Amino acid sequence: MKTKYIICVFLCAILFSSCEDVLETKTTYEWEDTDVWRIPDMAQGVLMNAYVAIPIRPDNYGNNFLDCATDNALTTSYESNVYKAGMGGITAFANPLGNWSNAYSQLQHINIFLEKGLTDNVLYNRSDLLTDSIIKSRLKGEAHFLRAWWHHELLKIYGGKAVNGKALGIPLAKKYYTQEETGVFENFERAGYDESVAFIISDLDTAMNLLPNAYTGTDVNLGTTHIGRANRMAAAVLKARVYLYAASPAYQDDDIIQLNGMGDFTVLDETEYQRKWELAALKMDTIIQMTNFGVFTAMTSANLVDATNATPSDFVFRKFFNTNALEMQHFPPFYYGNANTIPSQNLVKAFGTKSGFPQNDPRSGWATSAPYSNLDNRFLMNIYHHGRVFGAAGGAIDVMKGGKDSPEYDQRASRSGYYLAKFVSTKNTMLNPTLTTNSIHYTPLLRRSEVFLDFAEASNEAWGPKVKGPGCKYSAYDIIKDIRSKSGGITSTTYLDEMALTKDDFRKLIQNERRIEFTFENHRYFDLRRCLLPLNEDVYGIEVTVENDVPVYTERKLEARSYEVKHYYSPLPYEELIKNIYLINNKGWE
Amino acid sequence: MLNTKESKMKNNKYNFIFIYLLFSWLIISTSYAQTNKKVRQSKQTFVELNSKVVDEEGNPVKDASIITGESAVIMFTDAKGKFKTKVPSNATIIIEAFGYTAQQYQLAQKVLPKEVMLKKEAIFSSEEFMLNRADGSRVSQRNLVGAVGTIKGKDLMSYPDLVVTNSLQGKAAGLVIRNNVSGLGNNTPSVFLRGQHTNGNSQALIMVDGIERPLEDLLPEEIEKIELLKDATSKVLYGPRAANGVLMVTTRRGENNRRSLRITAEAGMNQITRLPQYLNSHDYAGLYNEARTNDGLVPFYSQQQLDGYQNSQGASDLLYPNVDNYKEFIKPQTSYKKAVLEMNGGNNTVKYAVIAGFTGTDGIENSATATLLNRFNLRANLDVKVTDYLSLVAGVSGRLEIRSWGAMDGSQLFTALSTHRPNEYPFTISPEDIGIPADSSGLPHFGAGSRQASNLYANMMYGGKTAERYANNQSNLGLNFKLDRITKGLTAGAYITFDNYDYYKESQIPVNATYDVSTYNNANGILDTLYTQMLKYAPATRKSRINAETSRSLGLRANIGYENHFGIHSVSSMLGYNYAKYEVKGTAQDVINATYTAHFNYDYDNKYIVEFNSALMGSNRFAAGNKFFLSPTIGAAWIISNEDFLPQSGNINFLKLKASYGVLGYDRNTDYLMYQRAWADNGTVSFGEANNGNKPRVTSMVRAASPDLKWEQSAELNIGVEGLFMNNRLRSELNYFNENRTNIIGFQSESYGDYLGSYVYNTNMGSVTNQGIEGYVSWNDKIGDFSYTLGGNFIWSKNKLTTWNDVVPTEEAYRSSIGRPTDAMFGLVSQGLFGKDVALSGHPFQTFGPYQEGDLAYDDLNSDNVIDGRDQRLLGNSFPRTSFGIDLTLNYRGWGMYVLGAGETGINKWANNNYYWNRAEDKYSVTALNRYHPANNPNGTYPRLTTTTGENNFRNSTMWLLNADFFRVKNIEFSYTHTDRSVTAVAKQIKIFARGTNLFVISSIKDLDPELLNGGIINYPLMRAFTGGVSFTF
Repeated sequence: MKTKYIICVFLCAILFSSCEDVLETKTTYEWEDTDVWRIPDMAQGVLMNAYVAIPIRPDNYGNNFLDCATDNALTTSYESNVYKAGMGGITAFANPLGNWSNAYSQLQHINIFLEKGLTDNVLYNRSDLLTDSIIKSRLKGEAHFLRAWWHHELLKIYGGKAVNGKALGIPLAKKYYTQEETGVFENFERAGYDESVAFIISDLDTAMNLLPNAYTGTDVNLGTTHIGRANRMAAAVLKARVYLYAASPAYQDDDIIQLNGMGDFTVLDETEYQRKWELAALKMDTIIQMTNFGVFTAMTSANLVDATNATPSDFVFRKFFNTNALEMQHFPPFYYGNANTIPSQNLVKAFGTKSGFPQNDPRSGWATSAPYSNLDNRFLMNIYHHGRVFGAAGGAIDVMKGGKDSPEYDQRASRSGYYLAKFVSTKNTMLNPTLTTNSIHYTPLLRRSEVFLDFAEASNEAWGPKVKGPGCKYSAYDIIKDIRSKSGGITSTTYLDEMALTKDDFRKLIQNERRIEFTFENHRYFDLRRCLLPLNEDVYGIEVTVENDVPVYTERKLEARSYEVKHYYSPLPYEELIKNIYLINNKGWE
Repeated sequence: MLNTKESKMKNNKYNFIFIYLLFSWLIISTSYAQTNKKVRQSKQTFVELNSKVVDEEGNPVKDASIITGESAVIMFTDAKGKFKTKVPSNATIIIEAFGYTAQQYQLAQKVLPKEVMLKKEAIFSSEEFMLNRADGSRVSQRNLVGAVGTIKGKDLMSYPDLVVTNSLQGKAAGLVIRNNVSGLGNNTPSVFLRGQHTNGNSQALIMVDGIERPLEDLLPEEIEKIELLKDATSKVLYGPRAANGVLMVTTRRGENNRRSLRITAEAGMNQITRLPQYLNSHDYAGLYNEARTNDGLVPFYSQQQLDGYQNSQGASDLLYPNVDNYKEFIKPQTSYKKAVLEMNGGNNTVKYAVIAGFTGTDGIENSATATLLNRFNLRANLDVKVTDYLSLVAGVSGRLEIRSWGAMDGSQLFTALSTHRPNEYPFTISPEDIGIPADSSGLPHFGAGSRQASNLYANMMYGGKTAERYANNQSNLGLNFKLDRITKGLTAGAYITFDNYDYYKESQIPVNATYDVSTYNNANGILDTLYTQMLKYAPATRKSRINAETSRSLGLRANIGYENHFGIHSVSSMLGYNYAKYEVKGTAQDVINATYTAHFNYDYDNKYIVEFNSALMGSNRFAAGNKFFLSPTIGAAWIISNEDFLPQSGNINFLKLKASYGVLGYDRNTDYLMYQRAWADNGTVSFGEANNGNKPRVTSMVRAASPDLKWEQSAELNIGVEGLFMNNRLRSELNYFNENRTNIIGFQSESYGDYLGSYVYNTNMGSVTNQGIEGYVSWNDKIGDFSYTLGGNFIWSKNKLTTWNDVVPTEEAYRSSIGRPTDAMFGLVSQGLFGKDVALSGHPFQTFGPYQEGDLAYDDLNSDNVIDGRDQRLLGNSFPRTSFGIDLTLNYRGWGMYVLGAGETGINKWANNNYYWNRAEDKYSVTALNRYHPANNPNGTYPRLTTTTGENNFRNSTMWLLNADFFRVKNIEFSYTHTDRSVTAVAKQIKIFARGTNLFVISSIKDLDPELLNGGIINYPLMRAFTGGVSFTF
């Protein structure tokens, strides 16, 4: 009997012992809040998200350049977002170029870092409080720069106009928002465009005050090991860009600029419009006149690819990669690439001849029989054309029927007759299936040169081509002449002088200069929109045939760009609009 | 090809040797048993039995079975209740009949009376109708207040399949088995009980002998029965993982005074049912050119190439290859063999069951290294009555599976078969053509495509080998105490299970050199052939272990029960504790559940039954203080047939009304540690020149804390009626169920702006209601020697998402998921083809991709003159509304026939695999012939061909919605059983049988299998089995 009682007691013990103890979780490699805001590596790590989210490759629009959504280029990846955008696929419900949630996500990281990562709880150097404050001020500067960067990324896409004609910006993420706070929608109205700009500029000013000019020397905290972080120059260049956009016709209230149709607008309030450009030009001039800012330098192919380990000084904010991923996407199929982004005939025609004239000017010396000879230096930097040797030691590009780079050879061959040269390596055997190699690439995100073109545009609008603004170092003419000479190899100023006679002609020249200087740097889509240029130019390619042993080049229309007037502004995300009644959509998308 | 045959023969030889060894052992052991028996029998005397079986009123009992000699020798009483046989004088005789308590006689002690009286027993309360419960208690079908279905293991044996779970389809009411496409022997289906319970995981829980275990580890011969626990009172005792229903499998155990030794050998073949059809090189090239032209591009294939394909020399034609991949690499049929030894028996103190089985099959791949699967199952279950008050249950089992195949597994092979185009590359290139001397080892030069570096022929014929081992062992040990000495009816028990699962895969795969062959006009305009090496040869130097997994589980149970009768009152109760822990290598958290249960059943006068079951469910997924959830349930039943007001005729033998209701917690859809905010390391970011400088770490938010998260819970109502009618010939049950799943966890994104980023926490935001009807009816009768059973079962269910986050304006309510079933399929409404059915001009702009004549036109549902994602509405549903099964069993003397049919109705599928969607540079299937082209095929119904990805056409729409209703003849068995009751017989029973599975299917989908649209495209197709075999019962 005794044993039975013991068993009984034992069973009862099992039955009613150990309540929650057995229901434990295993240790994880996760950290709690208190760790993150105490340990400097982890605190800084929160901010680093905002760097990581900036794409490493320039062809980051679904393995394509954003130029494919413009008349500069086409893509062979028909499922890509740029292709969808180009054929009119932008809707509020699905915006292939939308960056709303990604950008706000980064802003949350930045804001929580600003609030919690710079307090006395986190010591970036425990032994030396001076070093700690140096690091903190650098991090604070970086955070403000990144907050400006991501706000401007949003502003580039979503900035626009309401139906009442007011230029609108975006809801500003001035602080870290909790889940409850993001549910209070009246706090998320769109700020006016100017208010958005002011907020971004104030962030950039803060950043410029805190950041070093550049990361040089061997200093542990501010030396070369930190290249790639935001610096004062980067903030300055971004500032110029923000002012340029802010003065552009697309972002003026209706009583200043009236949009009449595709590529057509009227300035209603010349004074106010002028004032904006003057402000922009003066701000840009201050930047140009900063110590160590230097002069315009031409970009070479070797700055971008097959480069050295030394970041070109032009690239004040850049990303770096040493792979062949970009070549995989854009090499011709004969060299095992996918020929994803292919330049258009429209772009080819934008390059003038070395004598400084456009191709269609009778004085240019351009001939239909040799359409690619003697063009602006930047042509070869950008484009592989029929007959040009591919890479350092490849065969001549042959797009004639049945040729090695023709659509009869491979289904993915270029249909425009051109292949991309900018950013792609000259190592033509790079993708050899049994022996692949890498190449050093830079993705310039902010270039000093940009400020010169920004200034030229603003100065021309403010004071005309040849007038130097008050206190300004250059006139628009000075700068364009310099750029054409350095980048294009154009010494003759005949055509330039002709164009400099009127502001309107010179504007067109500057716009074209910007187009060929910044090809495939993902500028044109935004430039077309902000300048209210026609978005819907048909895109052409070239067909090469032989008649009587002489190659004949025939233009062929390949694609229409199905943009409408409303595409000057992007629709805000549909789901956000439904949730938030305080959110006003852009014109044309109500 | 020689290689294939050789290795196949070798493998066949091994199989043969194994089977031979198994059989010799069986024969030796049985003949040893025989001789033993003979020695024993030679001393025995025999007695002649000649008795009559009667009931308490003296009426003869017809069809009572007389079981003698511990074995399977069974005879039946005739219409007068009489039987006559000769048995050893010391035999034990069991006499049983449906509705009566079985009687047992040991002739050595007691002579069988001339009239054996059987006591009437309450219907559904005999041992056969006892149901096991998770807490260790048992309840009879009669006293059951809930809904529990039962499938007998012996009913599954007629289905030859490597995965026993597949044989459950159509077998029971409420059970929905959904086939999955997978490789040989891996096609475990998804199992559902009573439809879709939630918008997360709705699959049922499968338990084997008291703990969660994979059912496919078992042979049907190992299964005694599978109980399907469907209502709240039944499920609650299983803890927090049971709310979607439980399949509780009980393995076979020995039976008192019944011994059987059965050896079964079965062999046959597996045949492919349906394979997708693709176009040959010439047809493909012609249509591809059409697609190019459609896109405004120049044709890709020249006339010379088209002619070349027309006159192709076949797979190794250098410039114009034409390959039928399926024909080259797939065999139409394969072999299947199985041998099983079953032994069970016992006496009043020790009972045992031993099952050993071998299953072997080869794959349908035509490859140098044959695909083989050999599986060994072993199980031994033992019950020992140690003393009057202590008994022990023990069981061990294991499965060892050895597989081998070549370089490509089923998924890789079929994906390649369905994507490598017929003209992609020549299999081999002659040394003369390529100008590279022949390899001294005889390895040919292999072709490749410029986009397809690997060569199927090289991989299949010279690709190396892969091997896989899966082994598990499972053990159970339990102690049961009868504590009558303390209080009559008091019991206690303890039970422990411990399982180990081990899996690894290793391979030895060389890379064969391949060469792309392409032609182009060189700089001089002359056609040049270019050979480019796409892959370099790399020998398989050593075996590499590519995958290894282990997992284990531990289960504990303790319980105290009390059961007694006081006059017309009966009570049965149990307090239990159940602990289970599942650990899988590499997962962050173990599954740990601890549940306290209380069960109380009260029966008044065999008429009114009430039951309370409740559980305090514990889970490690919740915060401290919230780890437990109290689930109360209640049920009641009324046995109307026991009421006096019902005429006691033979028409209503049993009739019960029952209802149950309860609230169950469910933790399987809840993630771990949701209550605590956490960050994790997310790599680094690189600074410095060439990224060689500072590399700070990136810290990412894993989750924000949701400290107040409640348990997902399910409130369930079941109302049912069950009965037995027409002199026990008609049995039927019908249940209505209504379930309300609430507190489903999710992020309420409709209430918060996107400005939140990743700093999101979850709330109890969702709810789903699920309701339906299920039932079965079975009729069995006997006319002379002819007996038959005809049965049918069905379930109809439909659920509805009642709350969830949904950002849809009211005018577009048609695309809201709320108020819709969780298996809803949303898509665009196709109006037909532009240019054929709809005019292109004036149609609202479609935003998905470029479109032209021949492309799909969609309906602008919200009339905003733009077709986009907002024009998608509910089109169908992906889970069957109704699943049903029909079975027929016929027996005449020794002849038997069994037919099972299963079907689903109210179900749709998307025709969205590459068989239906011919686009870009994909392989074209025969459906490409049905494309629309204004000149070439004006009557075509599929959209025009395109070399783009066809974003406008290839998206979910009514165009691609299929009605996937089907009825399948799932299983047929023909058998003849020779019974020799004489004591000198070699075997008591010899059964010869022929079996077939998946014989044919009726559906509107004719070209692919309606259940497995991806079968033969991404992995193995559905197979049809034909087997024959024999079993000896000694």
